[in-house]
Amino acid sequence: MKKTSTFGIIIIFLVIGITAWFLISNFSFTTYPEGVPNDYYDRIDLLEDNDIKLYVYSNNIDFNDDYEYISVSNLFSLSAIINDYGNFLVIDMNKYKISEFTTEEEIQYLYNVKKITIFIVNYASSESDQLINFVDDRDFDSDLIIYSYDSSLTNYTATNSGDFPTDQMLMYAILDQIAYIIEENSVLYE
Amino acid sequence: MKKIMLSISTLLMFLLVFSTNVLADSTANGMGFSVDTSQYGICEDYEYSFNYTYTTIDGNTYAIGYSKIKIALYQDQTDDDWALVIYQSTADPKEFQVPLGIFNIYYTVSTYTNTQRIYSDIDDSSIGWGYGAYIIGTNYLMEQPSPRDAPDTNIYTASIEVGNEVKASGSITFEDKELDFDYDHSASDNVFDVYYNYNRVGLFDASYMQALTYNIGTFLVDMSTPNSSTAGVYVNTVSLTTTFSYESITTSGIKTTQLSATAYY
Repeated sequence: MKKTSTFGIIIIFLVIGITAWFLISNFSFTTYPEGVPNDYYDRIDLLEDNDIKLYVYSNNIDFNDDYEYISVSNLFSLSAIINDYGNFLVIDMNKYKISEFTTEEEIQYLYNVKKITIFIVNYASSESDQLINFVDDRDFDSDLIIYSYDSSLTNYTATNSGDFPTDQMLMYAILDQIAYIIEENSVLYE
Repeated sequence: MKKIMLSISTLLMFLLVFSTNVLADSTANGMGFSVDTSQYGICEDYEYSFNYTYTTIDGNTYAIGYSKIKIALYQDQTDDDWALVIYQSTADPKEFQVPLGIFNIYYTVSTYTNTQRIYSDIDDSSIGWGYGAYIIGTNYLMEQPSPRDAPDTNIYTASIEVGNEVKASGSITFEDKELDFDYDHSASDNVFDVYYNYNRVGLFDASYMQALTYNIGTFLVDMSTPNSSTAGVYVNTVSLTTTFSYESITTSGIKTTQLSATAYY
């Protein structure tokens, strides 16, 4: 009789253990913006750990208040930036096409002299004719164009080849791309 | 005396560092290669393209993977008829979560890289990129990059590697056993085509399926009879096709994304 009850208790514990393992391994208690991958907060932590300063010129990009960015309204806001590869600027063409932000020469200056990595977003979908001499015609169809530097300080252009299904995915892609730039060029961010 | 010794040591160290930098191109180093600048000079063009792969479950769109192709071009400084192309591709499956049931409890969906294919058709005139008839000739040949015996070699040996990190610098050893791959390349085809199969079975290592990975490779192009181009002397487009899969207790699927990167000089 005693043997049977001991055996029963072991079985109950086994069932509870397997159920708990199944729940913990398959179910999540952390919520993410709709559709974005589970490394969303890890990417934000990486940016924060590397003291990245992200300047944003946009009406819609706010990172759901999960990431502390710096909103800018004109070029004067950027004049005090020191030369540093840890500075990133997002220019939303949906806003740029209806309100003056800066000139192509000034953006060239920010990129080539100030060494700021520049993200141009919504270029194709906004159908803007701004920055037409700055953006390479190979990249006209892209909604995320990146002007950055690799670990050898060579400048390069990177483009997303498709559009983004939601603003959440666009915001995630900005954070994710900065994280890749940090990871793949770690010597610049040590 | 100490000052003289210190000066000599400093000079020697400077020469050592300076001579090292001269030999290896830094852009190539960043992509995991050691390109000899004395033969190939500095990088002529350097581009990359990336994309996210999506799936739709119960009307909601989720990102399940990230892929990227980088391409850099070099011109042979000893023979203008040759161009060197190096590439680096990335595959990063992205785990995500979807709501379940009336309480919207979230469960995790695991993701995997199944395959990656890098393809470049040297004499394909149908790219339609708008820069003119730049690669319609039949005399473009490709061969193994280094060492090469003669420009007209018809047999190609692919230089291919996969790893879970970008190699920072220095020479690399190409390892073809870490990942199952097929490649098709010869002068008669004018095609560089590498197919990486992550979905390994049996005793082979399949750990790359769920990891961020980088594949690198290189090929030479013979442009001894170049065609006119408004873009430059040489144009090359490399396309990347990546297939990701996902599965959980209630859902599974497979999705493919294609993108390309074009470079020229």
